[in-house]
Amino acid sequence: MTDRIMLSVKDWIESRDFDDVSIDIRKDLIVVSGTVAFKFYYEGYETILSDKFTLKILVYRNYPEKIPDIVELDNKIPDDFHKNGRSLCLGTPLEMLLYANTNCVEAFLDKYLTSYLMSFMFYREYGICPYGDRSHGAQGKLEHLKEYFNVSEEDLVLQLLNLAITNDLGRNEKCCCLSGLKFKKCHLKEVEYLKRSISKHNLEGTYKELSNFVKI
Amino acid sequence: MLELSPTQFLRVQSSYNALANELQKSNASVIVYPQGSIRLGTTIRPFKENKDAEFDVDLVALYPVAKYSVLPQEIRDYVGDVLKNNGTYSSKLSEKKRCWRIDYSQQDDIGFHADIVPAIPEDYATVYKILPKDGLQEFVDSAIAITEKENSDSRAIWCSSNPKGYADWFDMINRKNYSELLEQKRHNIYKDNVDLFSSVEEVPLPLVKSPMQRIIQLLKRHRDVCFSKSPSEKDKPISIIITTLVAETVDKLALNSLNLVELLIETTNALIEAGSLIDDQNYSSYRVRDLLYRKDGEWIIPNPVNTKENFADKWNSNPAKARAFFNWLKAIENDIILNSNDEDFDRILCEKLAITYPDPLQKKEKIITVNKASSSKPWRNQ
Repeated sequence: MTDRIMLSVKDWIESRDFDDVSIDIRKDLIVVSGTVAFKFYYEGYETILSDKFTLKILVYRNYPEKIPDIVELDNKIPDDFHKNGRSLCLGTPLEMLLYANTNCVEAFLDKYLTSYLMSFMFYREYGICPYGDRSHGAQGKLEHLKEYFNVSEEDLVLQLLNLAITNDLGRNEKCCCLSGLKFKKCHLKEVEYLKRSISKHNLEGTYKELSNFVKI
Repeated sequence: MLELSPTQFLRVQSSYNALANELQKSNASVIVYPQGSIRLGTTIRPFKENKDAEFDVDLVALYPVAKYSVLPQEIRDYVGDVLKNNGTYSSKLSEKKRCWRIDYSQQDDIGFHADIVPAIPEDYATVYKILPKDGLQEFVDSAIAITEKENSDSRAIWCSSNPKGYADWFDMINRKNYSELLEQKRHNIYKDNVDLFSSVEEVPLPLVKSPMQRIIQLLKRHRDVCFSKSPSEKDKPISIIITTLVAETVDKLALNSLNLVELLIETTNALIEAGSLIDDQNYSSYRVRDLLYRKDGEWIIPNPVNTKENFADKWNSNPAKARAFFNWLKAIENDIILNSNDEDFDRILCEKLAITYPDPLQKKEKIITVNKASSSKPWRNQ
């Protein structure tokens, strides 16, 4: 059987500027360690920044169920940037799972790791993330879901999220977002996709966390 | 480096702008502009005595005076005196057949010299005589008269030239075949050098190269390397012949391939057909017959913007030059075309062009373009 995860990891390494790289193949995961150079051109800012990072990338065999973990070994990235212990916080778990569900490891690393490092490098230089970052904790999760559903009210985010758990809106009923459209012509696609990509357990946990947060 | 990088180009440009300023101080009406390969975007580092040599930067210093009001020797001396009396340039100055040369090699690690050609606008009678064929007549307006000295003791005489018209003609063909690509490439150069340029429009056009310009650079380099080991080095084909034949071939055969090797093969094959001329004076069925032909036993490669100028003039007084040209075409066939299907083609090409083959282990640094649409947003739990 072709090891698709391994191939995808190798493709990614091949496409990046690694100084030295080692790949350690273990039973449940692939560990990539090495120093990699990045040079970014920031559109809209017309700026170029470059730097090198020594990273340890853990890609789990059960990707996309479990998303890769990345540790930066030189401590160039301070703890007050988006970090959890030594792991880089690339995005909210839900958004990464949604992306991983339809994209290979190579695409995942290209999007999330690259975006993270380019945001950090710009932040270090100019004090902002060039294309935005998310608030910490539940607020950031809500921000993502607002973008995902393309709505602005928190109540609506919760209702739509709940629909992915309970399934209690018929295709031909009016959508809960009050657009006046039938559900199937409105948010059904996003709700279905969420339901198919994310475990019920995870969705319930997120719903609980966010509804508590919104109440406060 | 075989060609000027954007930074080097800007340094060369500021050197000649400084020179232009000095010339303007003594005569505000002089117009200084680049000509030749630096203007056409076909510059390569010359290769002499088996090693890389200095870049040539050719400039015209045009004084808008009437031809009858000044003698060629006067204008030549005038420019020479201004430079001789200038502290910056006097020690770097030497006189050549058609120009004053300023040697920048000591001052700048790029390694180049600037050739300043004193010139005045061509008179109408001459312009009328050299009028090119229909469709190209507009290019004759920029014809100039330049000075030429047989040797250091003789007095300079006028001869006719039109580097600006030639460059405009070259640009026309280049744009006709590659306008979209050139625009895209210019943008890419800007993106890769945002520290040098504040807008796309600031990227000098000679830095932006179409496959046609690349082929010309490649052939010039091949010529230099090919003849560097040969006793006939002094007879090697001049750059303007290569540039003209490639541009005319691309234009005539409407070649617009973006694949360099393909284009190189197409172009050289068309020229090789013409090679049969050396044995058969009446052969005329080859594809590029208006560009290179024999008439009454004389070789002719017309200047597209000056009907009276024959780039192959010297072939007629020295048949070795014609032989050298056709031998060189054979060498291209052997070195490049016959190897084009080889797996190792890149390495072979580097060898033939005396370029160090890039170490495959050393990857080039890539620039990743990032924008709002493509990026995700970092987030942390607490």
